[in-house]
Amino acid sequence: MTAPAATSSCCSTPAIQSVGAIDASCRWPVLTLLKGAAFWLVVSSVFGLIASLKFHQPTFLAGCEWFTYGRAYAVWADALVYGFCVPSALAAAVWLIARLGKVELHGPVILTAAAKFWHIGVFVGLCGILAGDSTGYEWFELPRYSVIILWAAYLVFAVCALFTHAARTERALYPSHWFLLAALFWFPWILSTAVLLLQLHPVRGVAQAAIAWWYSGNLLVVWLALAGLAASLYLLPKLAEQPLQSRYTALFAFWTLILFGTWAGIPAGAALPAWMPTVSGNASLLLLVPALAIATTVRQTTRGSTVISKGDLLCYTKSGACLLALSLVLLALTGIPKFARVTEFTWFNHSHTALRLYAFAMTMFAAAYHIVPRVTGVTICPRRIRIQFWFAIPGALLLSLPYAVGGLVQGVKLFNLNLSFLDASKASLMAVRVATLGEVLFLGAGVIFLINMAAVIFALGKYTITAEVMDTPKLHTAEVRS
Amino acid sequence: MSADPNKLNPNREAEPTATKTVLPVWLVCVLLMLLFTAGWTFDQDGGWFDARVYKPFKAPPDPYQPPAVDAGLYGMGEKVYNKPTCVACHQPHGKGMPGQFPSLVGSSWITEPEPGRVIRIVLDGLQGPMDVDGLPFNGAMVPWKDVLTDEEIAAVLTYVRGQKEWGNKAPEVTPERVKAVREKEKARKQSWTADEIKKVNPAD
Repeated sequence: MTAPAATSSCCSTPAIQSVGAIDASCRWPVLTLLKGAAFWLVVSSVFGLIASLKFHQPTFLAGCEWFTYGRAYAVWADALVYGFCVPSALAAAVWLIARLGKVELHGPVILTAAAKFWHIGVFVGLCGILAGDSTGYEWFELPRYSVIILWAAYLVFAVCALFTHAARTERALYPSHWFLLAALFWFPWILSTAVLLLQLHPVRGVAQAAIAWWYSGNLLVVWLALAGLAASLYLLPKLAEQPLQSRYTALFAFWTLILFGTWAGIPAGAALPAWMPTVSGNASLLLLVPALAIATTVRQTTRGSTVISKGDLLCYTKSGACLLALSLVLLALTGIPKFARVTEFTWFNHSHTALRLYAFAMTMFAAAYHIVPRVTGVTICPRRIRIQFWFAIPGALLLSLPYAVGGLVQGVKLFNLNLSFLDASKASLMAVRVATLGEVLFLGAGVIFLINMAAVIFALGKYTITAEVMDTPKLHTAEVRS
Repeated sequence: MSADPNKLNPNREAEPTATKTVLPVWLVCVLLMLLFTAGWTFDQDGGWFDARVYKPFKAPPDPYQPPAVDAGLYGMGEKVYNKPTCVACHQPHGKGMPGQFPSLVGSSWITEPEPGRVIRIVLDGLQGPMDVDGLPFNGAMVPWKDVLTDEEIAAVLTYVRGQKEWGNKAPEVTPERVKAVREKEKARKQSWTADEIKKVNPAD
């Protein structure tokens, strides 16, 4: 792999740079992040499939301790969050910051190295989990030795992104900027806190549980929504060819999301002082407000658009943002104490978390398919993108929403005192079966995504010399025919 | 898959812009309503950030209800026996303690067809030397007339006299019968002795 032609340096004078040069400066960091992300998405889907199969085929891979449910589920979760979500969000973030600020990306070589380190960190962490080194905190199972690598690699990205942002030639901020910059710093903040208080100097007693919930709540509600919306708010108006409606609704969504989201995550029945679950439940309920603001933005921005999209990037972006709003609505339902009492020990909470993660994946597919042709000059077959959409969207819906229904039935049956615990648990079995089908479909989408990324890199390899010759600043980018 | 670098549509490549349309008012209304609800819930359940306040545990009602095999006097008698009243001395198995408390199992005193004597013993107690089916005892049984109602005494006697596991098959004792005996012995101030009780007609 050739290092990018880094024409810019930290002390370059702010001069308006060509779009081609800006895109080319992002090429290797973005590609390195995305190809790893695509790989980890497939790994995550495979382990998600294994974990989901365990519920109706308990003997499946039962003899091998590496594939027991506790490890398979943890690998599903961490490969998805740390392997796919964070790198793809970073890829979108560096490109957006460079593009929106009309400035070349700072330190592309260091960033490429950091991206590789990130993926090495994920690899080490997932092997650690499979070997039994999991920390036992849900969504934070990665062992200490791998988290340190991730932490350092992320910091490189945050610093380079900030330098790029500071050197921007377009001074006006677009709404995506707020979300991007908040997301860039939200993640190291919560990760540092979790590493410090759960791994390096573990706090005692129930405080551990409270911190673990706080971390996963912030990661899966605030960070995920911030990073996803940063891309959505850029792609929606651009792909729909209409202006974003509106700046103030986006600002409202931003503040309500970070104000309320950061409190969410502690379940209603937690054995903590009463104010913690109560405040957390109230915060979840208030997340209905950003959910409605997001839905309004999507509707108003795309209404009347003449762009025809049947499974193209606009469909990905719209469904990603709408499913994010839907998952926040489901989360808000758990903020109603009577509702939470029924759903607390059921599949329901898994449902909206999974929905949020896969909604984020939809947005990131759109971002990747928008960015990659621009930074490489290689077109991606639009038919494969469309086919992937029709795998991904039913997959994402089927592997999350049946759990919501199954969880409700399970919760109601748990309250029926004439039914045994086993009978109540069995009520969710059909939901798990349908979700397994969803996992298979989404695995298909992940495989197509991986093939598309691999095809770009293969084409680029064949084409490297030409690409280098015609590299900055004359490179024009290709448009995905949509 | 081909390198296709020249298909740039300049309009599509323009960076997006955002309008400055005002925020829909209904969103602010929803926010305020939910803030009010959240404040209300916090005031009710939140304990005002006091670390010592925990949510009360409300257990659902116990689904296990002991099956009512013998309702009526017999079932009530079982409860009275184990209240604890009789069970303290005569034990859950009814056999008492050798040398201290006489057995109720198969006892001729208990299973007399007419309950006149045994009602009197429960009402006013019994003390002094006595002989139960060949075994000597010299203790005291406390009077129960101020503790148990007529119905409760009738119930516990019905239970003890009809306890199948102990092999007792005497007929039941009615509350009316106990009431009648209580009226007749109203003047009695001390416990019975074995000699006194043997002079009483069981049918009386």
